[in-house]
Amino acid sequence: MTGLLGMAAANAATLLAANELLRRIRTDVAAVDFVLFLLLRFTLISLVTLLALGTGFFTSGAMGLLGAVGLAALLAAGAHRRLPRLCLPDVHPLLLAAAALLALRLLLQVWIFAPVIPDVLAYHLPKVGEWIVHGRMTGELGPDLRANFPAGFELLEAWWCVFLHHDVLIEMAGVEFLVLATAAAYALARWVDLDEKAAAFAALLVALTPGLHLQATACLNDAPMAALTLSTVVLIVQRVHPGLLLFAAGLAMGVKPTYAYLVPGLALLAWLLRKEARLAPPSPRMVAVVAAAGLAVGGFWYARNLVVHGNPVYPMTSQGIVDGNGQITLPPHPGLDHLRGNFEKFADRRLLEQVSEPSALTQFGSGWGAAAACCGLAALLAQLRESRRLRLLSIAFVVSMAGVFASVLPDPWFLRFVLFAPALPAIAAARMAAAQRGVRWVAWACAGLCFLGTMISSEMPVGALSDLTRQSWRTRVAFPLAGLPDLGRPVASVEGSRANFYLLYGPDFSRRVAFIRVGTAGELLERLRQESIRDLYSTRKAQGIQEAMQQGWVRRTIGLFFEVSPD
Amino acid sequence: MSAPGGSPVKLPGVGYNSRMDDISRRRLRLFAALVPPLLLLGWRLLACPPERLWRDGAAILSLYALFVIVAPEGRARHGVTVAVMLLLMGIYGSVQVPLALDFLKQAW
Repeated sequence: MTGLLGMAAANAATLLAANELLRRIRTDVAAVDFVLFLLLRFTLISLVTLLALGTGFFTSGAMGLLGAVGLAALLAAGAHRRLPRLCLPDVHPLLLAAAALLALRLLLQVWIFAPVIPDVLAYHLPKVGEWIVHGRMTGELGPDLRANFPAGFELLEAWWCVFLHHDVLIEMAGVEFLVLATAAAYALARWVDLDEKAAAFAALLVALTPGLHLQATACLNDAPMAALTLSTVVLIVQRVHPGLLLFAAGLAMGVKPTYAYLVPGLALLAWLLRKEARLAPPSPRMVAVVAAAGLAVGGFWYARNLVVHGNPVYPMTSQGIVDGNGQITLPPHPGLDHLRGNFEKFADRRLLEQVSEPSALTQFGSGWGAAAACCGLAALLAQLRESRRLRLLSIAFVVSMAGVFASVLPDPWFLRFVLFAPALPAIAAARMAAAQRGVRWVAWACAGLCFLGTMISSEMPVGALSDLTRQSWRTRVAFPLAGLPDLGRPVASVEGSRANFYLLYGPDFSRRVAFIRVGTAGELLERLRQESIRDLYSTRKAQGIQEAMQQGWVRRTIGLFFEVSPD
Repeated sequence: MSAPGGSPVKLPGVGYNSRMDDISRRRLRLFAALVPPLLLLGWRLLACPPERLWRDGAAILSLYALFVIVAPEGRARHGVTVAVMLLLMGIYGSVQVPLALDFLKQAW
């Protein structure tokens, strides 16, 4: 209960503080200001989380107390009186009902789903587990090298875990970014020339884009990156102060470095719009502060990698990113052969999802959904001649997509890097639907198909829904790891497998994981005694384990789990 | 001096016919607009097996792009637009609806 109150206070405090900051950098374009408001909230959360992790105060009690003190200070300063008045937008009741249904289903998905994607369990979330268990940055990120990637999104995930000391609400971080993507799509649609109703429909279609929607509840950072890309586009087309562009870019680089691949398209868009009038912010000094905050939050990870590994973009090297088998998983530089290969794969069966059901990783598909791919692309082609702004956005989006396609391998999942792109056809679909009844019917039918395709991602195991709903929220996991010790028992990882590593911590983070890197069985025994640990996560090939098994004081239980014999 | 259409005409040898220039510029623009969908269509015709071509999204969209470039705005164009959207939706739905329903059943 205390955790719940702390979470409510801290979230209320960040909302009020974000609004206070927004007052000093607002553009007076409501849709753009809402995008900026969300970006400010993410920045505040990231900064507070980073500071708490750095000082060792990242605990439920300390964060709740900090939230309560912050809230009290903001209320005393009258920040609540300066909140904008909330009112229902002037849109069709059917659209409102659809949005409410979608929001309700998202909350249910957050409550029921648990992390399941292999990459998430191997390298995205182990660091969150470490942070929550220890209340600080321990220097341990898990056994997967990719855990060294920037973790801006994981900061928000940790925020949603710290108060309850549980991961039941971890997907809220993704949902917040889906809201950002939706808000950015609305702002972009308004800029193109759509009225409020049509722009709201465009936003709904974007929220229903399978790739974005399924990622929102899958703890993946491609959808947040897409949301930040769309936000940058909004800020570019609205000709805001360049400091605000740096602010958004800093945040995005802290979430996923692949944002850099999109920069050519974004820069081209800014150049194409260079002659349009620029919006002046009320306080350029506050813009500079906000830009510095965004760059600090994003740059932190690169600075850490520079200090720890001597390479800001570690594990990327001049050979690219190489996996354990020596295979290149991300090439070191762009190439025309990648561009061609990726474009061929995109335009082939993936565009219309002809191979597999929608998955959060867009496996063998595009994740664009029926609204963007079936209705939106045709609508976009039909309207390119009449709308200069749609043309400009199309050029920028195609160049950004080409930047990504040239830089990544044509693997089954590469289209997750361009999840910002379906927003444009979705806007075109909504624009055409506003003018033509026939298209409106088709667009709504496509929205229905998208709703069906966003129920559950194909990464969920067979029977997952009934398994998840049957479990108590306190112990809920997407799948049990055979041999995992009871909750609360510490585990030693001795050259343990990277796969499913996050599951070691448990949904309530009650299992402490000790990373033991020793050579001999004697050293292993000494460390286990020091740490008071009897359960091990390892492989038979690990030297210490091999020797300990020969000596008879370690035995294998199930799978990759071992235990120290009682005597 | 002005042409019947009202636009100025320069005498031969001392300038150029700007009306003619407008027309040739319009043709040039039309040609430039036709090139990308034609290239895309040609590439799809070569790359896609003939039996799968009718349900190839990129081929259908490039044909449609050629159509919207040359067809005048009007009811017929709207009708074709809706038909293309329905065709694409049918192709998408014929695969995705059974897959999604089957997967939901499995997930339960």
